[in-house]
Amino acid sequence: MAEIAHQILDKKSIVKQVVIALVIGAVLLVSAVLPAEYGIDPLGIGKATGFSKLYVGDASAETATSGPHKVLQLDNVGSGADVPKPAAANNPAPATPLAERTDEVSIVIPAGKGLEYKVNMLKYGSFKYEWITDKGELYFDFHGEVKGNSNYFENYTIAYSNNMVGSFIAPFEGPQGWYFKNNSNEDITVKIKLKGQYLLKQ
Amino acid sequence: MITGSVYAHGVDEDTQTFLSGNSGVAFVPFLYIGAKHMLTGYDHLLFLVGVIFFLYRPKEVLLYVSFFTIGHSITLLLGVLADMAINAYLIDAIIALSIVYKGFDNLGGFQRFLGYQPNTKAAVLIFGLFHGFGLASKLQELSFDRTGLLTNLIGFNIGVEIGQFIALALVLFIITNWRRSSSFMKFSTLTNTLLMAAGFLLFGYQLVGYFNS
Repeated sequence: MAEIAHQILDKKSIVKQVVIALVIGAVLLVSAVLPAEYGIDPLGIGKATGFSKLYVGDASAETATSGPHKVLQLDNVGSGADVPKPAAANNPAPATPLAERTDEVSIVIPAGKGLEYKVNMLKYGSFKYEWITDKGELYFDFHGEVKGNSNYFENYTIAYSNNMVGSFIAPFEGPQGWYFKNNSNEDITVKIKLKGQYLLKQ
Repeated sequence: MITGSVYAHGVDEDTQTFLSGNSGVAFVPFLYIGAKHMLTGYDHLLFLVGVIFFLYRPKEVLLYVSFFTIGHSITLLLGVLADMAINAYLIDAIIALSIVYKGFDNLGGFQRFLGYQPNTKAAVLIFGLFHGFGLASKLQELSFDRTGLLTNLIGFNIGVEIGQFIALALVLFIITNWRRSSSFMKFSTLTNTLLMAAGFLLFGYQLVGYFNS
């Protein structure tokens, strides 16, 4: 193609310009674009300049989902017909409920692993709860066991989500809480808030 | 997906919503999306600046557009109709390299180091082919109905040409006027170095995106 007459640089200058271009490109990439677009900040420049603040992880997107979910069915619920409901489940509720308290806890569910978070409750004790992941969905099983008998359990909710809230009244005395399973290939942090009548498990 | 208002080579979220919910023939909307895509794709605009930089004859400019159009039309149609899945990050990384290529070329890099000028028409055609794959992979990401696929695809393709034409007119207008000023030659090295820098930056951006996904 015919171009307008222009001088071309000598070899040394061209190499110099390429090096300059590489340096500019690399500096902008590491200090601005990677922190802002991917939240990757190897040198901490993004944090110092505030570019990291532009990064918004997409909670619902591809980062931490793992393809189609297993279909959950009625048969998945409960400890099974062969496990009798312990008599203790029918104990009357205590006269004085536990004192009201508030807690907030963050747990890291490692990639491919499952973890449980439970609190101890008295019969008919209640709490409000909220939990949210930093990215992606978790498989979870919100369930409770009768005190002193972990063979019998009730599943209140089993689902996949990145966020859940609600209120809960314990049907019997015993540990109540969530099992979280991370099926993705990235660690997921779940932040749990509780407000109500319970004791943290020791 | 990265949330934000800038989408290299991409299609913005509203458009995406339309495309995903779309069924059947929608020629004009696809025409619009094609044109918008071309006008808002900064990688494409940068490549245009690089190619047009030293071209001045209308005939030459037209020739360039034709080769680029032939290139990307072939792979856009082929990619979507044959359902070829090519990673969008890798395609965009190659498109970013095309910007570096043209900046380097404008500085005289190939003449100095190879001793000859690689065929610009062939280069534009080849980059056109890659660009078409990029367009195809973007359309494929949006799983729209296969009813009316061909009509919509042609609408999108024509839209791309319209968008390219508008972008070209703008870039040409700016560069032609700039050439009359003495600052053009003075800053031509700087401009092409910055083009390369932008190319390297986009290249890194896409590669990290690829390894991150």
